[in-house]
Amino acid sequence: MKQVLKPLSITGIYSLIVFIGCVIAGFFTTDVRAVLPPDTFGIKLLTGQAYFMSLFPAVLTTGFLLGFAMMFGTKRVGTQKAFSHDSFRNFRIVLLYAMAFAILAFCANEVGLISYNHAIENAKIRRRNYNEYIQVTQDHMNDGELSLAAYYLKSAWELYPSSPEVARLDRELEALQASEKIEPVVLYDDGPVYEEVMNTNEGQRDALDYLDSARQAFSEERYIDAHYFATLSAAAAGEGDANWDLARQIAAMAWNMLQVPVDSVTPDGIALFSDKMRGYEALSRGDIIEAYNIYSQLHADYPADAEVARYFSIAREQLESVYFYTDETDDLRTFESSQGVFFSLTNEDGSKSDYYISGITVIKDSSRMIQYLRNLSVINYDQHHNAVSSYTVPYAKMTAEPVKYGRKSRYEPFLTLVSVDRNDSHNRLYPVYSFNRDDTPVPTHLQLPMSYTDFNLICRASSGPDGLAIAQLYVFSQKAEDFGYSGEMFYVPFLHRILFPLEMLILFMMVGLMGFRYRLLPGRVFKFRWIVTFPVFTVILYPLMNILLYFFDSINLVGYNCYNTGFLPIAIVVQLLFLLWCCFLFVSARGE
Amino acid sequence: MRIEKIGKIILTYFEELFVFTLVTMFIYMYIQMSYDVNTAVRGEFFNLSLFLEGMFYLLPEISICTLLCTMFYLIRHDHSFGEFITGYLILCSFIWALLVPLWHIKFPSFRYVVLFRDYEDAVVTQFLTIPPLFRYFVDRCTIIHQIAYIVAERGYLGWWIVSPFGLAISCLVCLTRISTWRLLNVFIIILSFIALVVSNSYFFDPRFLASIDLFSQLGYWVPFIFNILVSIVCICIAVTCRAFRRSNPNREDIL
Repeated sequence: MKQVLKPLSITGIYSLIVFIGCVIAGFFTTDVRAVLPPDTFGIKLLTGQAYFMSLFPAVLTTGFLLGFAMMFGTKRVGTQKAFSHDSFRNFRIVLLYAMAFAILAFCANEVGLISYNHAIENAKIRRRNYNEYIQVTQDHMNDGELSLAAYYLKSAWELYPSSPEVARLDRELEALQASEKIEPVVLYDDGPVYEEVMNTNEGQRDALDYLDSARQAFSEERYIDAHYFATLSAAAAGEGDANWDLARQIAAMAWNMLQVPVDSVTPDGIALFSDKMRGYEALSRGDIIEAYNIYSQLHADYPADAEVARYFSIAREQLESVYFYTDETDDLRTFESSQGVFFSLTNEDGSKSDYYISGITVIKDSSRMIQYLRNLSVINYDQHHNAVSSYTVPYAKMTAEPVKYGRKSRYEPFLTLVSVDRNDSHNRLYPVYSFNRDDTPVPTHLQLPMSYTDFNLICRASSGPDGLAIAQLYVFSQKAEDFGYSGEMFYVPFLHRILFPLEMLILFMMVGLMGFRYRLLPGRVFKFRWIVTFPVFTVILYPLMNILLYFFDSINLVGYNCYNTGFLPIAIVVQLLFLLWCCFLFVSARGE
Repeated sequence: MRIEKIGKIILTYFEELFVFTLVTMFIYMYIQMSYDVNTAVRGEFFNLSLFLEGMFYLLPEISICTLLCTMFYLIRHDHSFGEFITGYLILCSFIWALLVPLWHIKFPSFRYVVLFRDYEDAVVTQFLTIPPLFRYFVDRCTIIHQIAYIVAERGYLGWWIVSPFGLAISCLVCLTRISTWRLLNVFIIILSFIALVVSNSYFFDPRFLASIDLFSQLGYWVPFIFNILVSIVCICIAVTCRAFRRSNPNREDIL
């Protein structure tokens, strides 16, 4: 039993030594200029661990070879005959070890290496963003745009709080702000008006419920509320319903009461009422921005007024459902989960649209996932691949909306393209056409004809196949062509990674055979000084392993080009045959 | 001295040569084919002319590498000194005096073998990266390959220039008994072989020789002297190992 555990213990101890060596090497070889000072220690550790992960298969191979060379160094093995009971027993042990080690190597590549590289890449992105923020802050300060400079300086500060550069710029900025009066920045003039039927988030109540509220409001002389609830009741009941007539009646009565000049005691009261009415009318017409402006002003002036509070919140909800606030995007650039995302979608009529997004930030809201897309550019083509129109929007907000296709439904990305300033809703950011052949109106929303999960997959795939987990890689390789990517760019790496454990298994069996053939001779004691030579084995086995994998890869590439996706089963069968041959060689090996 | 043991050494060499040649032919074919992969056109999975080309281009190299396998065989099996010397001498003289020179002289058209092509825009570069150490080693070997054909232009007698290289490689067999641990011997031989080939590729490289004053005057004498020296060192190691083992009560080896 103790003999059987020898390969395991040798591999374990050797891995530990190499791991320590890699971490130490990581501390000395990491280029710390590529990351921010707060990340320095972490990146050194991560680099060392990434070194180890890439060496790990070779370390396993070394441990496997040496472990079995020692394990087989007994008299019993020395007299083993081909195809004997002993040789099958040894074969079983080697095969079990080989499988376990192949799985370990696979996991190291799929989980370890990918996540370490991801973390290292993120640290480098933080450094690049920081440099960019500092540069942009400086530029804005030179141009006198102090509020923008302050915004970017804050972003830089979040990445590296103790930076002397940030502190210096902060002092300079304060000095500039003190000497200059800051003028508010007007981003855009008027934009498009979005027509929206009055809807509400009052909760799903039925028509009768609304009717009761309307009656009560009418009796309390709250005529705006009465009209509002009566309208809702009529909408909920639908034409022909018994309550519909009643609701219309109350609505009409309330409206009539509203038209009568109010005999309020104070002129202030009259002004308040007429403002409320203007806001309510705007809300009914669907002029949400106007309604929001009126009610936000009223809410500031009369915070205690229940009616004002109600319609302010309704106006705000509706505004948020149609637009989003510019300040939502303020801190987004500090961490973008993906950058440079590209894809293209073909419509049923053969026309095509290309989408390019500079950066994507994912925000996990309490209930749903929201993504902000920076610099979204869309180019539309007609059936003959002629560009029809192209527009760009600084920021778009994306949510997932359920869309029904017959019986099935799926979530599709729903993009809000217009954003408004929270304090001054006339300041808006909206899509700007760089050219527009057919004079298409400026879109405010965009529904992408793809599933939400596909969108997320594309975000990850846009940085190349290496960043994808193997399952995602497979899924994406099947659909890549629908989104304007080449399928083989993702399928060939998938082949490489799915076949990796099988290839490692073959390698381990060959190495196991080598360990058997060059086993320690019986009666010889393992000398301590031989341990020093272990790295020599890794130095040779590491390139040998890579060369073997390279050969397999070139076969895979040629095979894919010949049989396409049908090559995977062929490759598996061929490699299994190869494995079988290795097994045969092992079982037929004789002792002296 | 038993004749069948000598025969076994030689037979094993040819068995391994056969297997190695077959494997190399496949590998050569697939590497070459991977360069021709055009994702727009469905390719073929087997190409007979490329398959055979691999053998004709690389047989001298394969035969030399297979000599390493004979050394490994000698590590695993004990032979008397006479058996070893006779079998190994027959093999080496076959390779270095007949196969390699005659192949180069008879088939000068196989001079320009290119395993890795330099296509920046080839489709293959998007999918495969050649392991850098492998690429380096093959590039160095290509230089020796070229030198062999240059030498072959002088005819059979021109081979005295490169013959010490063959001698040095053959003498690596002296390292088979350095350590009691046979696996270590195998890796020592592999490492020395790589080192020997790479250093020779520099000593045969006219550009490298020109870069050092002393060497540029000596020309082809540099690899000649170097390889003779390597051979002498190898033989000295073997003699020392043998003496050490004899004098040692446990029959232990140096390492």
